[in-house]
Amino acid sequence: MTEKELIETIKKIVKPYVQREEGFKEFSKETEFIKDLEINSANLVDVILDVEDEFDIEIDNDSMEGMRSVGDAIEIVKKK
Amino acid sequence: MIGNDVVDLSLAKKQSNWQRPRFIEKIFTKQEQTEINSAKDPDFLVWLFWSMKESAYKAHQRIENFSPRFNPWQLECSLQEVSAEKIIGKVNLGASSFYTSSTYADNCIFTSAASEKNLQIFHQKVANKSLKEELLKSISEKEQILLKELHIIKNENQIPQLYQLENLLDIPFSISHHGDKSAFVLLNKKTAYLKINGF
Repeated sequence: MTEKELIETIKKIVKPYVQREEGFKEFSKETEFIKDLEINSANLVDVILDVEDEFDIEIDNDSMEGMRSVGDAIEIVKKK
Repeated sequence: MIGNDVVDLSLAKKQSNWQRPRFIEKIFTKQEQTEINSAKDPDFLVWLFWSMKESAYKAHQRIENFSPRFNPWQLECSLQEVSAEKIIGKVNLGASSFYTSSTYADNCIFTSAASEKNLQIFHQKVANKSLKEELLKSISEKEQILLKELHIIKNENQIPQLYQLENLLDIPFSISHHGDKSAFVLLNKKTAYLKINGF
């Protein structure tokens, strides 16, 4: 998957949890889940589980701790 | 230092399915999972533990000013005293402990956490649309500061901080909202008081 495709896939995953549409309009690698999209922290778990399901990977707790932005999520997926 | 959290149980039910496979393993310790699984009302305990973790996280972040992280499984909750009025709990994180107090009203859980025991925390429930306004009004009255000089700015780590004109004020507070329910907690350094207003 190219980086562009990865960003698009993550964008599809987070869409149902977004509380701030302005942030979603400017969706990029730099977008932060809580700060820019105002995803509530319980839904951050859903994002993580959806990423795991989509890419068939397991995200360990240490990686989860640092998953703040779309770019962080992409790095985690690439490493697996 | 203090932190707080609000969970609207009916909204939480709509927004999150904690029974989804692997969900609780990502958030709760083994011990907490055992307690949730054997609870009479697992739904309530999930969101009670969650609000305790969130409140303690906020107090912790305000002490250390670290950039936002997601580490709920590191915060270990235990319940100390459960009554109809409130639930007293403790959250351990490494060598630190946070002391929590939760109330249940209007199908919502309101929790506050403090880094020291017996801190006199002012906890007020307000409608979300007037949250900041009510907080500033409260601070203005208690600290005798002109309301129009007070404002809140988030710092580099997204922690809201209080300013009087250009000056950063050392008044610990925390705000939380969930849907249209919200609350703030406040530590007043000049006078100690405890008051919980009805929603």
